[in-house]
Amino acid sequence: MSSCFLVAALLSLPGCGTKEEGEESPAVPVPPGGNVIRVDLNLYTPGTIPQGIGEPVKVARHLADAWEKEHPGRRILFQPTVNTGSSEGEWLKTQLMGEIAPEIISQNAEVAWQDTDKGWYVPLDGFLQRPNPYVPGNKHWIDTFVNQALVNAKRAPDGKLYCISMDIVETGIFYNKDLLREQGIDEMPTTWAGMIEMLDTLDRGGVTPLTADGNLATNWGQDIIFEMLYHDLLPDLDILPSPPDAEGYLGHYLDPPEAGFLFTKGFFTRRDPRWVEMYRLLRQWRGYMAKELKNSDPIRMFLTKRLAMYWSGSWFIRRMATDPYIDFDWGVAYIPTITRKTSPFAGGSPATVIGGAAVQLHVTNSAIKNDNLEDCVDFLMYLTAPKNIERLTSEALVFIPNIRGAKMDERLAPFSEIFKRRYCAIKWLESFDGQYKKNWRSMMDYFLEDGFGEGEAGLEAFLKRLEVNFARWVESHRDDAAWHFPPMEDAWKTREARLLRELTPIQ
Amino acid sequence: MNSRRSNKRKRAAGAPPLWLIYALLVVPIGSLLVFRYVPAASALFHAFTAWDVGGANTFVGLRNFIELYRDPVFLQSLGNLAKLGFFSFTVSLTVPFILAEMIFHLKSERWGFLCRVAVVLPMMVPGVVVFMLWKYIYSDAGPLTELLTNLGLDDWVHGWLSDPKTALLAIAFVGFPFAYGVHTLIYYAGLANIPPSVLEAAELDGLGAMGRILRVHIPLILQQAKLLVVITMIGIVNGFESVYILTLDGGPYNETMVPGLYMYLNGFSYQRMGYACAIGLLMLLFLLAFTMGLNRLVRSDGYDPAAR
Repeated sequence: MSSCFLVAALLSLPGCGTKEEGEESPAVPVPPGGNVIRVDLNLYTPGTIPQGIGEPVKVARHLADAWEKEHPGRRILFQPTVNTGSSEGEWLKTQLMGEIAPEIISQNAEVAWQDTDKGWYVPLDGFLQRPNPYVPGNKHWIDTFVNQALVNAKRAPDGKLYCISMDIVETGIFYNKDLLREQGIDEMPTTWAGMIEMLDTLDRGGVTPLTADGNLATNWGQDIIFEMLYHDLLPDLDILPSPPDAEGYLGHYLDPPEAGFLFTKGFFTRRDPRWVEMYRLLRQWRGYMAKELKNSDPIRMFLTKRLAMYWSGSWFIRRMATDPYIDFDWGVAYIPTITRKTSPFAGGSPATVIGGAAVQLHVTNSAIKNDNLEDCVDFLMYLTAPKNIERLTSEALVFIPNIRGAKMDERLAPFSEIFKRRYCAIKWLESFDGQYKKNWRSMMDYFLEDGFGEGEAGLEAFLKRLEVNFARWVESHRDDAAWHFPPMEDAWKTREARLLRELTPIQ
Repeated sequence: MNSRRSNKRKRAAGAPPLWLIYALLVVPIGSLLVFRYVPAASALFHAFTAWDVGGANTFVGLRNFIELYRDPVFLQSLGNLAKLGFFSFTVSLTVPFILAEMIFHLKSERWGFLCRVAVVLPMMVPGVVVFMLWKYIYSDAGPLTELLTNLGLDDWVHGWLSDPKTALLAIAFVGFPFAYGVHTLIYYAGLANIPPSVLEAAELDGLGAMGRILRVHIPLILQQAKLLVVITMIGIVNGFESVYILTLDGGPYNETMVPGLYMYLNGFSYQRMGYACAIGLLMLLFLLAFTMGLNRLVRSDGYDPAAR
């Protein structure tokens, strides 16, 4: 009985990319050598069951077989890496250090940036300028990517591009239409004030109104609220000129050094009323979320109709579209706009997106050691041919292709609409690194659980601690070449008067 | 000198040649050296360095230790460890003892055997699974919330792991009802090892059940208790799996941080391997000092009929 319970509990764990029999396992000892390319394609790795539902994916294997036929003597071995997706990829780090990691791995670019100076990853800029032989008429591989700004957003602080972004992920609010109707709600609100009203109604009706995986709701929420409160100020705050391709989608994006510089001028401190307002709104919002911020098990809650809205990503479409037990009407919406009714700092600009590149493929130092770098790049070019990426994304049904000419599965259409919005002005937690990032996240959890105290006193105590962490982070980068403040000082002087008006004077 | 010589065992006839035995020992001892002692020695050295994995490795003397002394997160982790340790010590040394006593007092051999099997069976469930189950139990969609809601105790529904006031307690309660199999069996073995003549004498002397437990059982199983204290302490100091699985980063805001997790985070997340080694070295020194101190404080040779 208890073992049945155990098995049931394990099988019900959401989001597991489980492996099926018949696929290469990392335990199979294969001598690394020039003819074998070991590849980790994240959710596209053959044998993976994205979202733990449906058949294991296998298109990547078919593509690899076809590639092998064109390259006699070469072999593609899929080898999933043990990678938590955050910075604790200890297994991967040991492999990279020993130059025995798979030649192609999936890794968040920001995580890889911490180690680019160690020579663990191969810069791909030169290769991206070559033609992709699998795309007729193509002159530069980089031109095959739909969203150039999104690709370039993954450029490391040293200016080099260590990954390719062949697909896109975006977040969205999945909502249970039936549950909302039962509470007298027929439409998703378009303003923040309307959303708070709706959350109130749901809360009174005994339904958990909204939540997300882990503490993502507050992490993502922070970035989105930030943009809506600072939107009008961004042209002035963007001290360093953005690259031309950033206009529109990535316009006025604040790089970490800019954020650090602005902090030294008083922004993002208690002197900055927008900053204080952001956390005030976030705390109010958190009150409507599940009791457990990081352990709420939202998928189970949403599927069992105890959660009205689940803020997740395009990956959740796979479950919603294929789970035969879902017996309610559902839709996908996005975070509503903060208006003046909610905050005097809101300019009424719509909420931005926060997704971006999904599977970010890197070529590791193993490719150099095993002398198969050219083959690795060729295989990546092959994968990113429109027909091939289309097959990969359509089968997995989790991400949107970012390659020109590749069609998107129509079930992902709601996300394609959401993706038309601008990107957020900064990904705060991603901008911070190591301990400072963890401290911030940890402090935010604590603050949102009233650990620093309730009301304004708690907010004040939290912001004070946050400033200490912020200051230490800035200090830790003092000697970095990218954090050269003098050019920013020059730009600051031209807009100082305007910007200082937005801060409360030093007491 | 003489007694030591006399302790030398005579080699049995037909025993394999000595050189072969030594040759066979080379493999396990060599493996131990390579896989246990060399990494430990390396960690000892790196505790005095600033070492970014795969990057520069600079000797910094005692700087890591000085920083640890001032590190509020490390100090908080020590406080958390003390609280968790006190709780774990109390429950993991007393509950199995009570259980072992109850099993020992069963008259039926068969029931005694069944109880021992029942205590050992849960050990077959991997620890990670147990922690995942507890994570599920504490979750908003979990059975604890269901139970409280169905009992009409909605106000008690709680973010057990999110609330700073309850997070550490929630971690401590993982493993409830604390009937640890190994502990119970070790206690039971100690009790079973007490000669019946001693127990009969105690009964003849008019000692009641509680008197026998306090004045006969406990003194005679001190050796086992000492072993359990050491095992438990090592588990408490080194263990962080439950915290890592339940709260991931020792949150909320380090309320559940323990030194083991802080060492891990420093090593693999913050890429401060030297600092992590320093934490590891302190943990090792503490455990060594504790074990040696315990050996000096609690001297027990158990029951030795030959010593009478």
